[in-house]
Amino acid sequence: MVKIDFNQVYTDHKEFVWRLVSRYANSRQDREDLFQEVFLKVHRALPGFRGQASIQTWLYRITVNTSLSFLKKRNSYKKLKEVLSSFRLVEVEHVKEGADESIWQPLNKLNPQQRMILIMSDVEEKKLEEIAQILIIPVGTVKTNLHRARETVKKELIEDGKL
Amino acid sequence: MVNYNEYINKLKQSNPPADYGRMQAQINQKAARYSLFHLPQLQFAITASLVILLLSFGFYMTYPVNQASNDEVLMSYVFNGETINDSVLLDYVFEN
Repeated sequence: MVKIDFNQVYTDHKEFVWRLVSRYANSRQDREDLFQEVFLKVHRALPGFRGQASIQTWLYRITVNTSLSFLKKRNSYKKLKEVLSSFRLVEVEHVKEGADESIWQPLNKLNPQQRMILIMSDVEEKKLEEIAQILIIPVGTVKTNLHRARETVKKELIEDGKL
Repeated sequence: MVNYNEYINKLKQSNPPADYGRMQAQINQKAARYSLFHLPQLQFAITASLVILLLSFGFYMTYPVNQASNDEVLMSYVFNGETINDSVLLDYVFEN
C-alpha cells in the first residue's frame, strides 16, 4: 500500500473539490462547511486508501456522497424551520444572496437527489450508469429523476424570465 | 432548449473564490481533535477505567461489611456493635 500524505492530497486536489462543492451548496458558508467535511472524511479514510481507483475518482465519490447527505440534512433543517416559523416559534432569516448564488436559484426547487443527478449529468457530463453506480440507485431512478429535475428547472427559468 | 443549455453552461463556468489556506488550517485543527479522541490507546484506557469502576462498585455493594445488621454473616457482631450492646447477655460487661 502506498502511503499518501494528506497535505499533498489537499494541495493537489483542493480546486477540484471546491469546484464540485460549489455546485452542490449555494451559500458561501455551506460551501465552506461542505468542503471541510469532505476533507475531514478524506483525512480519516486516507490510511485505508489502497489506490485501486485513481485518487480523483475516490475524491469524487467522497464529495458526491458527503454532499448528498449534507443537502438532505440541510433540507430537513429548512423544512423544520418552515414548520416552526408557521407557528411563529422562530423567525426565518432572509439571507442576502450575491450574484453568484442567484445562478443556483432555479435548482432550489429540486430535492437533494434530483439536484445531484442533474448536476452530475448535465454539468459534470457523467453517464447515467456512472451516476447510478456512485449514488447506488437503479439507472431507471436516475433517468426518472433527471427528467423531473430538467422539467422543474425549465419551469423555474421560464417563471424567472430567464428562458 | 438552447437557453436551458446556456444556463447549464453558466453553471459550468461558475467558480466562486476560496480561501484555501484558512480552510486548510481549520481542517487540520478539526482532524487533530478527532485523532486525539480516537486514539486506540486512549479509547482502551477509558474503557478499562470504566470497567474497573463498575466492578469496584459492584464489589463494594455486595461486600458483607456494607450490609447493615446482617446477623447471618460471621463477623457482623463486630460491625454491628450497637445492636450487640442491647443484648441482655453482655449488659453486665458494658454497664458495670
